Amino acid sequence: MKKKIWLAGAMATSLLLSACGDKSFEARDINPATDICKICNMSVAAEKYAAQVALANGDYETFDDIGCLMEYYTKTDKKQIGEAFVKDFSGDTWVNVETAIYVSDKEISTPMSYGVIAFKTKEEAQQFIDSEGKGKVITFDEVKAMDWSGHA
Amino acid sequence: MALFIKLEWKQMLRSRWMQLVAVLFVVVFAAISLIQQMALPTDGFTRQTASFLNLLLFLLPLFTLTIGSMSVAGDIESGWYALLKTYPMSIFGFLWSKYVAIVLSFLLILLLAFGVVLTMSGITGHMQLPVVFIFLSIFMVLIFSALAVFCGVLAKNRLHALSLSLVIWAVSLLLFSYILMALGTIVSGTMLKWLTIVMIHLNPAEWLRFGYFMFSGQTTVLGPAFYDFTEFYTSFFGYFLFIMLSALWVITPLGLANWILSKKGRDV
Amino acid sequence: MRRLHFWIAFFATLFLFTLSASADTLQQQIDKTPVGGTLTLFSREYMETAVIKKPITIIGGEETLLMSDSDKPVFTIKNAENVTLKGLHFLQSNAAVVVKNSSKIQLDKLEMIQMFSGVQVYDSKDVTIKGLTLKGIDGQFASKGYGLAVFKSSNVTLDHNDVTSVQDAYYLEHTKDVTVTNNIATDSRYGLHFMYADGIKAEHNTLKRNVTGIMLMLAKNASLRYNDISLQWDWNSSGFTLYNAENIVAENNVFSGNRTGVLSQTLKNAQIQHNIFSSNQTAIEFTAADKNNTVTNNDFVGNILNIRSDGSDSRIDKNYYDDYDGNDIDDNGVGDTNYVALQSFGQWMVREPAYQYFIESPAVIMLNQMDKQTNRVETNQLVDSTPMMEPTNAFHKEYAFHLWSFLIGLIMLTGAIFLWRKGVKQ
Repeated sequence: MKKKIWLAGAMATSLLLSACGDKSFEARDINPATDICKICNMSVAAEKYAAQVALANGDYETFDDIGCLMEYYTKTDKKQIGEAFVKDFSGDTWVNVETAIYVSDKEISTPMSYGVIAFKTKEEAQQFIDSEGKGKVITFDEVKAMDWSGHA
Repeated sequence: MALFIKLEWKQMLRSRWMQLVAVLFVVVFAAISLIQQMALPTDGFTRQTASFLNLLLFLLPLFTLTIGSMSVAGDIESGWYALLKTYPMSIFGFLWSKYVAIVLSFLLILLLAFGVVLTMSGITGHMQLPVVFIFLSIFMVLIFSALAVFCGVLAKNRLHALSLSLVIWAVSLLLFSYILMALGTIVSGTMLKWLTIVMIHLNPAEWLRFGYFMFSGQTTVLGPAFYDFTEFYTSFFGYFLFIMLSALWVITPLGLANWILSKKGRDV
Repeated sequence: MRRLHFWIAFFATLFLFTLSASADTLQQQIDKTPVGGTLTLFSREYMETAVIKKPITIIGGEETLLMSDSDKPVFTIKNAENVTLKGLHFLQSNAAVVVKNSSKIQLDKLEMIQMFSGVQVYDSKDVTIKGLTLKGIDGQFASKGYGLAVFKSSNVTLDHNDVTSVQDAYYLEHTKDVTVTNNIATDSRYGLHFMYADGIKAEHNTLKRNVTGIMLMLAKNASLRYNDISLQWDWNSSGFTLYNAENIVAENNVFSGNRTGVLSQTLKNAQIQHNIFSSNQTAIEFTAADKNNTVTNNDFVGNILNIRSDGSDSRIDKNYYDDYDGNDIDDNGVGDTNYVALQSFGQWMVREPAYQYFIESPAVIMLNQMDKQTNRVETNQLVDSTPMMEPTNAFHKEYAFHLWSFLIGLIMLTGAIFLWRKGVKQ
């Protein structure tokens, strides 16, 4: 009896969850003690390089480097992905991958050495390039076109 | 009432069942403290600590539930309870005395079993008895004895009590987890986490298992998904809440038993 | 009289000279030392930073204490050759030594306390760091720096160092030919962290209570031998994490009390042999593994789960498992039936980490018992067809008599029996 009620309740909740599909996704905070990169297993210790994906089913996947995010992003069914975020390099906000401005250079050191960082605005990106003297602004499409499979 | 508790205790200790359980516990505990064949690290959650924990989780609730509930149901069935009602003793007085007697006799069994473990480990020099295990078993006896009294009151006769307690045992030890694991294949990881947290609070066996990890400082065993949850409980307020909720697991079944029995009494 | 005057003058100048010398800054002292010369520092506190650009040997005095007065490292070695730093003590600084574009650098017996990070080496070659001890700051690892970090360098030797309480104790990125021997790393995030490394020799290191002992990422040609990997017990801990690694030999290591002994993902051509896995939650995990990986001649003792995988297979042979229940009728030391490491629950846990909660719970125990019966016929996945009957390593059982435990136990026993008898009597 108890079991049946339980099962029914659980079924109902899971149905309810799948019913409300069209919702907006929000980025969650990173916990450096427990969050690890879905792709490379490294802990997400340096948040300014971090990225995350809010899955359609309510789960989150975290990434320590934009490169790892892209490896996941390109090979995952887009239906499963609710929204993907990258951390603004110069601030504290999470930015949608589509709207973020990317700066790429081999010499920019990131946790997995992919050399790509993200900014919220073009000005901030340009500011970084001017002050560091390296990097060039690229679009999300260019980011997607890069080779992200890990290579030794 | 003290007299009645003493009487009940004697009855408990005299029962063949109880003596058998005592022997079983002593043998089993002696066996696992001897089975250690190799010198292995005993820090953390190893297979040895896991098997000890599971042994407690399996056996202690099983025997507390069955013996306790049958004793209560037997009293009601045999008319002993009807006789007692002619004495100046409240219903709750009766239930409380039964509860205390069950708890005391199981604590005696624990004393016996842990005595054996300590003696054995004294001789072989292995298998320490962590304090957390002692507290865990005391909590276990306290909670499951209350549930046993509840089962006994709910049951129509001794056999019914036995089956009821077996059902409760199976649900809390096995079925609950299996259902959750099955659900885990459908729902998302976050959802599974929340369902598990709900289950921890609804299932006394899971509650005690969680308590073991919490008080032994091994919360990382439960996995990173439970970081926030365990952080919440491993604070002063968390410990306080744990004790309070555990007390609730004792008070609620006893209260319910009292309510059912007084309703039954009016019907008869 | 004249003689006396002379002596007074002599001592006065000597005194003045030493006084003025001891007032020299670190940088001035270095600049005054000839190329290839040896500079012995005064026994005093230095609160400054300096740059080294020439061959020099700097030795610390008895009570020399170096501290940086800014975010800069105390010593920056730049475009230099043949630099040796020896017996120096550093305190509470952002970094002690940074080496850039240099070669033939020796750091010997440096001591660092309460540091954000220790030594950083960039674009250099022939670097030897030995006998260094470093203690980091308190707090969560995300707020700390690396202990010894080496970038884009070759021929690096780290020997007999001891690093604790930092983010990554030894970090090596884009390195070629590094030797890491007899080092200790404790209470940090990663003990040894290799990225994009080629040619690694890591032997006789002791890695304890870190998040991960050896983190090997995108690396190839590594030999990891005789390391002692114990008590990696944090939320996502493992003894080794081998990610996207190739040509790895893990041999004669001892893994004990770790959450996962060897966690591997996209591992190619690895030999895991002659190791001891004892009392780990999971001994070995394979995801996306390659068929050329071998697990042979290891001892699995007291682990909750021996081997689990996402379904990808590896060659598993001639290991000893303490939970093997087969017989050896022909007495050749090899069990007559297969050992099946496959467990449904183990496989689930690989796919959905939230299942971790149920590890070794009563329900799972029952499940494993049923599993054992149904998996008996498994012949492909995670099967060892030649399980050994005896471990290759000797596990000594120490016979010790614990008097107190014995006495208290005896008192409890007699007390319980006494109470029981008293209860039973009328």
